Amino acid sequence: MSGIAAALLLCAGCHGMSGEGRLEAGYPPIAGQPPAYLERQLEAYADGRRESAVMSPLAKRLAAEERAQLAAHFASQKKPGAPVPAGSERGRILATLGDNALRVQACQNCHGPGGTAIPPFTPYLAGLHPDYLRRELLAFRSGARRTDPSGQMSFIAQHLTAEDIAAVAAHYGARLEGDRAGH
Amino acid sequence: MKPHDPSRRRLFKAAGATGLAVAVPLPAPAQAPTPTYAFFNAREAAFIEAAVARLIPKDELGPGALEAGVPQFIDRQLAGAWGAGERLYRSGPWRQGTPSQGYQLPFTPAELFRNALRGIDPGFAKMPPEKQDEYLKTLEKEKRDLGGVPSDAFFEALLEATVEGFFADPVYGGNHDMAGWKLIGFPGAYANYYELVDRHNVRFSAPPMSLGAHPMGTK
Amino acid sequence: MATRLKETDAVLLGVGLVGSILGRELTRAGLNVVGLERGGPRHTVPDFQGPQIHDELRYAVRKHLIQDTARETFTFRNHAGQVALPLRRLEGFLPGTGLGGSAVHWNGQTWRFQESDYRMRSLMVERYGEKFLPADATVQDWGVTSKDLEPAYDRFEYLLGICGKAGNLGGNKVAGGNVFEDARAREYPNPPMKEPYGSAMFRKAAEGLGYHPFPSPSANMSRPYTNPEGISLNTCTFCGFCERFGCEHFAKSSPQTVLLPVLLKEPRFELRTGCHVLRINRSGDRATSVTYVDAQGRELEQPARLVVLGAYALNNVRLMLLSRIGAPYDPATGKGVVGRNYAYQTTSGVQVFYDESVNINPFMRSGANGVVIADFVSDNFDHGPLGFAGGGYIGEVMSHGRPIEHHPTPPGTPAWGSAWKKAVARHYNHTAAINVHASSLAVRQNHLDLDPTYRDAWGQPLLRITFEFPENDIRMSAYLTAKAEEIANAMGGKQVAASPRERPYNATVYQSTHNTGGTIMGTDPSTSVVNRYLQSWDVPNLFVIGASNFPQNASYNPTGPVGALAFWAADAIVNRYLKSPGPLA
Repeated sequence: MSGIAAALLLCAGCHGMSGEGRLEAGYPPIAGQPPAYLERQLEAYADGRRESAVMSPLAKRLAAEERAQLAAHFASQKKPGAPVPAGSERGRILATLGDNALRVQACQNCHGPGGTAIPPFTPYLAGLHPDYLRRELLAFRSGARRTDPSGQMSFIAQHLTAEDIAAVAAHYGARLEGDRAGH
Repeated sequence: MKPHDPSRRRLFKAAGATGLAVAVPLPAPAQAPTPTYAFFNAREAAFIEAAVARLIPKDELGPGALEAGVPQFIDRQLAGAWGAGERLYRSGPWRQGTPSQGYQLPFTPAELFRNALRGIDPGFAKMPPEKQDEYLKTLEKEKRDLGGVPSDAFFEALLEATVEGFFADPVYGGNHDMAGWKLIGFPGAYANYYELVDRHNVRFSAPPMSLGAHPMGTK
Repeated sequence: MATRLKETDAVLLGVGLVGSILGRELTRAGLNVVGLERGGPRHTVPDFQGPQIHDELRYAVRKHLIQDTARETFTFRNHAGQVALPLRRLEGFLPGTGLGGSAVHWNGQTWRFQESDYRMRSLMVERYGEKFLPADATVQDWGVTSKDLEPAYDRFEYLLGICGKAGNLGGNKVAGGNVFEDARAREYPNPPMKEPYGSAMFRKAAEGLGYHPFPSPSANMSRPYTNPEGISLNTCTFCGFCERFGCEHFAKSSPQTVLLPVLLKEPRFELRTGCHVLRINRSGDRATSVTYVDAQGRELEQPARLVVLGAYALNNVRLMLLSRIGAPYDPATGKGVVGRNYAYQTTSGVQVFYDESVNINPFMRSGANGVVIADFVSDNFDHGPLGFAGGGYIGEVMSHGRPIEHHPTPPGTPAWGSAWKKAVARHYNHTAAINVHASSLAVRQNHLDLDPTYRDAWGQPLLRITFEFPENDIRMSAYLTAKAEEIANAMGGKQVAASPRERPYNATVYQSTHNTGGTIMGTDPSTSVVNRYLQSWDVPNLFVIGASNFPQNASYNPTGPVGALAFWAADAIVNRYLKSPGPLA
């Protein structure tokens, strides 16, 4: 088996062969994320800009070319559907309008309509698990995740309250991916 | 820029930077809209449709103003607040000014179009394209009286509205299927280039997005 | 009959950049302050959020953040021999309206003027002799120096979080910054913005010709920043929707992003929006109140012990004339002061057309990013052999690629038809633009007064603008634009097209919103409206603040000096005037 095929199997163990993820187990979908975004995340796990006991050791073993190939593979997969936990009005407002007093702009300015990604670097949020989104926002807030060189995400996460982080995570987690998203 | 081809995958590539290639499939373009007019009557619409098709023609580069729904855009603008003189200072006395002093006619945009269109050759839409161009050039260069409107002023308003309708966000009824934006490579309303601005000479050709972009695609 | 309200300590006419700064400084000093703003309240959330804010038609073309000309405009003529006519739509310059004023829709280019600007007449005479300035030039000194204003500039730049690179730290020149600037006490609060491709090509070409390129100082954030008020701004995303738009990211400095969150919580401050001020009332040499019409159409009178006029420059002049404070200027006699020394900005440009292998990506820009040279600014070069006064900066400071406004084509391209369409498609992403941003000499004939014929929606006369580019500035523009063309020729394009400024001044073509003068500052009441502290010579409890104070306009953009003058005047009011109300000069 070639190195890349072995690596792919390793990814698939948690994220699935098509990158559909296993939401209940906390493994986010990666299918259809922009390739440059995915590649950067693998780099970040390797060099410490993102922390994960599972991902970091795996990412460190990959060569740059393998990271690019894996990113391209999962980027070309169809975005999965997602379950529908209860979103909140507060989450919807943060996602589409922001909060003036907190000095936080709407998520959709950069993440696109319905949180569906703006390639090449801004990932989709819609359909990711609320727990995952919450954890990542908290990581941006604490500085454990440093994958946004503009500093925007850290700024936003630092200005949101814990309740707001949960609300916006629930909002995007609640969004149905697929042809009827946004309705 | 190549003409629009729905079967083609548009590539976003950074020269020399691996990992930046993004393949984004473009949805098939919707049918060109069948115009329904709120302002123009049938005779007026025939002229507008024929005229904008000469101002920005359909050609090997892709759709022109007609295919991009520009007549619909102009119609909606004239039927609404803009046509009624929104943000236009409308007190007299009315005097002819110098070019440096700008628009000095007493007409709102809706009045200007309606009056001028009364004076247009009713056979325009049936003329061959070269004759249409000749006629439009006459309007542009001369001050023929069109229902009280100097033809050069009308031509200027028509050309301005045509360019607006070709490049304004599709939510206004023109720039159908973002044809104007695709022609030049303008990415539209969703815009964050922090990571790209200093990747010099990067070739950016992701599909554009409208204000009305739908979460699952464009419209 | 106007309803008379309860007296307040101070009233602000306009709550834009100047009003916000004065509101903050005066309430901090313990005053109760009422802020009257003619437009509506506006905030980053919800008013400036995307995607709706990224609407070129609504904001850039239809100008929805700009003064509503259906109700209030200006009349214009090139010279006194013409009949001024109303600008029925504003195109050439764009004063804002609403909370935050023009500092909401600006680009964010934030400069300091130089000593050779503040003391232009003295230093020109000293260096070139009495006869050098043209006979009709009414150029004069400001009455302040670079050193006087340095602390005020410093406060303003740290308040806004300006991104740049110092070129003169306490007298030590710093390579890579603006080595022509006067000494500054410390570095800019934030590093320069990222450098776009066109700017980088300009830098290389300018360096090759021996010039001193540096990053344009910007109020679009290069990183998150917390200002001395404790207010945080986020990073600019180079979205290409800056000037004529509000910023959705809290990334462009404006009253909304640097002061209002604190000021609006201040119990001593009361903001009233939708309030159109008709006039300042006076009794003898005291301003007693202002009369305004509120959003419901009621006429109200707000008595105040101190009046601060901080509207847009042109509207400052108009309100002084409508209030009959200060003698109106008469160009025939040269007597009078209000409306005197109206000046503008002498801009021009050069386009560089590349082949299709060069992707300029004009849409990946911010309002104030770019690279410029100051080698031809102000008196940074020898004017002796040139025979004109003034100068300008030259730079690649493109701010957007929005297609209705920006679709460059080479000279000779038809205005429509298939050839036009092909040229637009061919050149849109392969054209760089170099700007020449140059000074404007004050001359005797250019001035502002009240129009004898046309009125606003409240029945008051419009302001009349009489302006033509002086011969001096046309020669200056030809010289500077030729220098820009030399740089453009070194930028590796296939074709270069230069457009030096020509007469007549055309008010339908956007050139800049840098209208200056009319309530100018100085040390002599016969040639200025306000003293060096921006206090009215005639009415000492009235301060007039804005670009209307500039005796002539300089090479750089005016917002930096306006902010510095606001802090300079605030300091004079708080630390001197309030202790002993009366004339300060």
